[in-house]
Amino acid sequence: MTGSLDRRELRARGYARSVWSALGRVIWYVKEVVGENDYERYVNHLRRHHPQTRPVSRKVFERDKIQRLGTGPNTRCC
Amino acid sequence: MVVQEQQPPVSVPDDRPPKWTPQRIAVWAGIALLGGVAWSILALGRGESVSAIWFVFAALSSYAIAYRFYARFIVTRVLRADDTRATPAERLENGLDYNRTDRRVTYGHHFAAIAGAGPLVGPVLAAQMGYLPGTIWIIVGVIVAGAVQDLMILFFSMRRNGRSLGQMARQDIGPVGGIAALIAVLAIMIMILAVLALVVVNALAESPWGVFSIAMTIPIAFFMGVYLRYLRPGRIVEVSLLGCGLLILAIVSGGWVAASSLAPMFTLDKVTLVWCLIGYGFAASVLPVWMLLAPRDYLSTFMKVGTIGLLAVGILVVAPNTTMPAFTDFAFNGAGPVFSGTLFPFVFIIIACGALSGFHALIASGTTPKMIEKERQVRLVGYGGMLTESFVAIMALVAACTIDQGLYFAMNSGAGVTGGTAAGAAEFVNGLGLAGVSITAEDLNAAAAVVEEESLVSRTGGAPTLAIGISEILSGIFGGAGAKAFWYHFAIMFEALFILTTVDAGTRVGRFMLQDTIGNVIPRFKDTSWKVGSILASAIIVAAWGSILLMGVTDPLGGINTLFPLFGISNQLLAAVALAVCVTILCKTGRVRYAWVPGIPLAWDAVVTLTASWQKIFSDDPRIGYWAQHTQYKDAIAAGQTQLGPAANLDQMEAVVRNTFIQGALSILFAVLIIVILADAIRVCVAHLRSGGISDSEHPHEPSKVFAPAGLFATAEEKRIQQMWAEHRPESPEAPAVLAGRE
Repeated sequence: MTGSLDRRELRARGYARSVWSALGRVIWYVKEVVGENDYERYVNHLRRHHPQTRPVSRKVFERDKIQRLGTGPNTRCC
Repeated sequence: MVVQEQQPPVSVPDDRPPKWTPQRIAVWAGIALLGGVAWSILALGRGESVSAIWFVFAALSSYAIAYRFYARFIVTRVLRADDTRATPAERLENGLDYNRTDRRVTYGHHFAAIAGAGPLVGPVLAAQMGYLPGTIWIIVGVIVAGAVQDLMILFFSMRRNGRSLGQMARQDIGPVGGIAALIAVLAIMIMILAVLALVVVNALAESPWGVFSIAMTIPIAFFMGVYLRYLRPGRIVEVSLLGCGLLILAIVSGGWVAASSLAPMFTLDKVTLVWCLIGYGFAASVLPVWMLLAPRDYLSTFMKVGTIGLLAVGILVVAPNTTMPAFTDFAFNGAGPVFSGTLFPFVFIIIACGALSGFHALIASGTTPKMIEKERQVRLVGYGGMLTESFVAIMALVAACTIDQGLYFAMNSGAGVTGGTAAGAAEFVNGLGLAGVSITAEDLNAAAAVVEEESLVSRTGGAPTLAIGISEILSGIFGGAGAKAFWYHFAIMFEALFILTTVDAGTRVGRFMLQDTIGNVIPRFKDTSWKVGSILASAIIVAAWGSILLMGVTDPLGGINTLFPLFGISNQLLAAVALAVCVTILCKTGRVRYAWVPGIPLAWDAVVTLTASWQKIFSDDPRIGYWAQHTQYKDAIAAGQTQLGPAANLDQMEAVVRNTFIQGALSILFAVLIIVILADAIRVCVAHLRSGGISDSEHPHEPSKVFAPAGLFATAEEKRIQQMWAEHRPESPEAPAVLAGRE
């Protein structure tokens, strides 16, 4: 009896885990598309290719990013 | 000598199409069969309504076959995409704009940039000819023209380090073609802004609910901007979700405002709205981006993708039936009230986005090529992205074809013929002689009351019609009949939101283009931080689209009717530029035997656009020809008449004379530009074919050192290579950290 309960519980946990990981993927995807991970990517890039350069703070990075958007705005289609 | 460590492959060796196993043959035969059945039902159904499901099946199975076979053929044989070649994102990676990006993310990014109000509006207007012409053009057009253009431009731009369309035209065609392309880009920008703004004005005029909720987006965007700048920099997702929540609140509270004593304050006529929009566009162009432009862009991206997804679910679940026949008489007699002209060429002009949209070439040669990780991914991003937009257009068409036909024509006929009253509209629509259509003034008033609007008569522009369709479909799942008013205003808000995003981003882009152009004469203009220059350039751009917009709303003949064809022509003109660049590049690189791939859509586009321009310029029928109308009204004024057709007094007649002059002049400009670009492209192609020389402006081959799958799903072989890479570099320093373990 307990064995089957355990199995049921395990299965439920398995489902919960896959729901969570699916949700995690969705959040990751949305963040990537809107560019929320850009800072992380920039820091990684510096660490890999220019280890001696200190990355700017997130606040400054985001400010500059929006500034760049201002001088070269993305066209949006009709 | 250092022995190089053996590196796993950077491309799938021996990339042949997968073997034809019996299962695979069965699957594709099934898809073909389903598509065949769906197309037969759509094409042969006469006099009975058709379920929306068949539109979905016809579209999806056609897309699947085109993507699997035609797009693959283009990528491997015509473009010769080569995964051993490093893309600009790999070679020039800088952590800023050049970034190797996961292919699915690039696809989402590209789709969000190309999809806008265009594919939602055009199909709704074209529905006056019946559902079939629009459906065929949207599906066939995207497969052989629109997606081909997006794919090829994306690829060529990627091979040229992300060069823009204008730069490619200058370099690969020549200075004349380059200048013509530059003018075409500016002209289309202004036409798009004017016509889209006109759609918003028509949707919001005399609607306190709509005006209030749209006005609220400005403080919401400002709040989001402050949040992103000072409170939690860069947390875009959370602030966008917050913004969407506030937006829903704004839509709901719009209903309260409309029912309260505040309503008159938000009841604006069209001319007032035009001035509001002009002020808004100007402010957005000169204010810092973080305040308005950037947060609005996030908000509209979320709303756009969310609503499109919702609509797809709605259509599948509710599966509404069409009320529109396959063809109406207007397809052949050209006397339709929504826009004048016959099926050929005007369906192909009115439906631009969703089938073939030149504007996409600007995006496919902008940010996207700098993100592509591996060359063969262009099929998913360029071709696949455009197929998705085409599907959005099919959904808009379905939404328009499933609402009551009488209501459709009452909403989309200009105030000049309906008189703007329910009784006048009912009389006009019943007099159109459409089979099975009879509507009463009470029906029209009831339809308006359901969505809590004062009136739905002559709400031209497509957005209100689509909103009715969306509210019918979505209230079928969420909330029932009582939620129709909410969903109607939700849909209006959704369309207005991203049209305004296009308006503010477009004004700003136009401003930079103008500053760059003037800067060739007065160098100081190139400095984009110079206040005087930016204010002046913004004012010129706003004045350009603002005056066309004002002309549109005050036009006695109805602005959409006269301006939408011009908008379509300008968009197809830009497509001609893009396709001409593709043909020229193929000729210059010794691939003339494949020049038909962009050549057929180019020829079709040129025939359609030039025929439409010809009719707009030379037609004797005053309903179609701008100059015929111009002369007609001019003669009438000279003869002392004080009213003619929908123009009720002398002022209105003079307005018609003035407007038709501007519209006629623009038609001539567009036609001349197309001819110049085509002639220049042909000259270059012929010269190259005669000399037999090969000249290539693309960046030379540099070996790639990374691997990534090409399609949406990794194949077994690709997974095997990914595994090899994971073992080769367990910490995977070459892949962005966030991607590790996500495959």
